[in-house]
Amino acid sequence: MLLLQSHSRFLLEALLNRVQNVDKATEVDYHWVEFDDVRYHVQVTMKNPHIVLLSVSLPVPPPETIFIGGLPFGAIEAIKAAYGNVVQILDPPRDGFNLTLKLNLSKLPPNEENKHALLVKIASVREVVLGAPLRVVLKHLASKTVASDIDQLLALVHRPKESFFLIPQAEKVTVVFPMRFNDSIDTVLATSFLQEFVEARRTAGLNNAPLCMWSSSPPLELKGVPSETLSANAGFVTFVIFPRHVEGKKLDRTVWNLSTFHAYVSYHVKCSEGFMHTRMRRRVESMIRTLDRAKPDAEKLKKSTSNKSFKRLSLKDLKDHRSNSMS
Amino acid sequence: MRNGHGEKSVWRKSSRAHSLRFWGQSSAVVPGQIQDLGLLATPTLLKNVLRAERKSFNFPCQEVERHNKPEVELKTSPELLLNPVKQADELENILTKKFLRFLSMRAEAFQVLRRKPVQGYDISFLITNYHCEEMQKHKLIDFIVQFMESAETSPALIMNLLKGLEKTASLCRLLKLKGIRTLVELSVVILDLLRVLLVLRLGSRNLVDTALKWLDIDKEISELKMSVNTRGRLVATEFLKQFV
Repeated sequence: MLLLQSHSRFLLEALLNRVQNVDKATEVDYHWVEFDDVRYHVQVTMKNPHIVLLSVSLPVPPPETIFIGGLPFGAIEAIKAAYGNVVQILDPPRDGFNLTLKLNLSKLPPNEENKHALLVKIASVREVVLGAPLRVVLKHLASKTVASDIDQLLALVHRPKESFFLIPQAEKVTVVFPMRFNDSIDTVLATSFLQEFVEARRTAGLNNAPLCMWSSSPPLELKGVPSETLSANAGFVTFVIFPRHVEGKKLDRTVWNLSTFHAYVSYHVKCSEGFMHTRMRRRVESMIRTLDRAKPDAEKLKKSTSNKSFKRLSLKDLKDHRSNSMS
Repeated sequence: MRNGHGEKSVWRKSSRAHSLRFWGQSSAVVPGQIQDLGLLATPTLLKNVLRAERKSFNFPCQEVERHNKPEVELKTSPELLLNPVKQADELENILTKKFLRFLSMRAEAFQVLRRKPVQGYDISFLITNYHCEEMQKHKLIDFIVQFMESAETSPALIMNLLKGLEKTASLCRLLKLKGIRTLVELSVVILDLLRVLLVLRLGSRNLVDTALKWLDIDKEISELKMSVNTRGRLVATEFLKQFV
């Protein structure tokens, strides 16, 4: 599993489970966190087994991003467009969450295929909510226009208290990710990974992929941005998205891939570390074995020497005995 | 009184003489052809080794009676160290650091490893007379052959290892991870190694064998680095494929 799936697998399973056993009234109360930034809460009560309350807590937005009522701009519209009348947005949301959705399972489409598709979409709530502003911009790109009410430089939530930047233009959108990692080893590994993106882009098969650049200092596009938001210890990655990357069905995938870029890199950095540890552990074990070989087997040595001395003694004795008897 | 090799005859009585004589002969070999050197050196060495029959090289403290301490640690002899040859990049540094941390945390199992490396080095070994006595002593010849075969070895590391041995009879192997860049460099190392091995005599071949295994750390790290890079490429390619 190299790529990240856009739906939360746990959420999807919980929903499917609920849908299949909608008649059985059970209490459900799940809490979990995904990608170290989004927190989910699912609740079903005994009283209303067909009502699922799904709450989402988003990463803390940095001050330069636009958040309306605790949600990124365009999120409410995106939710309504994606889920229709199955989902109702509760206002205000539950304490400690940015968004609470009330899912009415009895309103799901009767067709199995459509039902499953909608449940997957609900499980991808992260993509719908956090990716909403990006989707708005990229949608304009697909029609080769720039929304009139959008700034020249747009900051969107990337990680808690960190943002990434969009420079929307009619014929292209430039996306800049300042990459930060907490651990020094993560940083080094990630830096080398990010440079591989640039290298990989140069290969023949990926000529049509977005242009990809990496630099250790902020690129020129981010000139007007306050410097405190530009402290990236793993450098800056720039993707240039053209209309061909967002046409038709590609839009969803592009939105998802861009909005989870950090999680994707971080996931693979962690995997690499795991691999390294396994390998080093194996190596160390083999070294210890080599060293152990340098130690003589104490017991064996004792045995062989005692045998030897016994033999030698007995021979000598025999000889002595013979010589004695001869003389 | 000097013999044909320009040695004082009195030297022949000491075990040191063997090493000096051998050094004299081998340095006449033109560096650059390792294999030739190997063929030439091995039988000569074997002879010398066989001549130098003494097994132990315990070195009690010269200042305090009945003391036997690792002289290297006490720095009674100046350390002869080289500067690193290879310019490692950041990824390599981190891999090395990580790997060595891994090892140091298991220092107990290794016995000969210093938990804390000597300042300025990534890793240090302290092999004392105690270790030499406890561990099996074997023929040297296998080791030499093995060394000849492993061209990817680190010069300074071996030199330090052996110089330490030569000087103090306890061995502190200070290693700074390096790569051999030129054949000349390598042959110099081999010559130096052979010289000091004679001083080492039959002592603890297996210990040295173990130490040799450490030389592969360099290789291991470059392999690790390669696999990280390959993985990075794969990850990047898959990501970019999504847009095509």
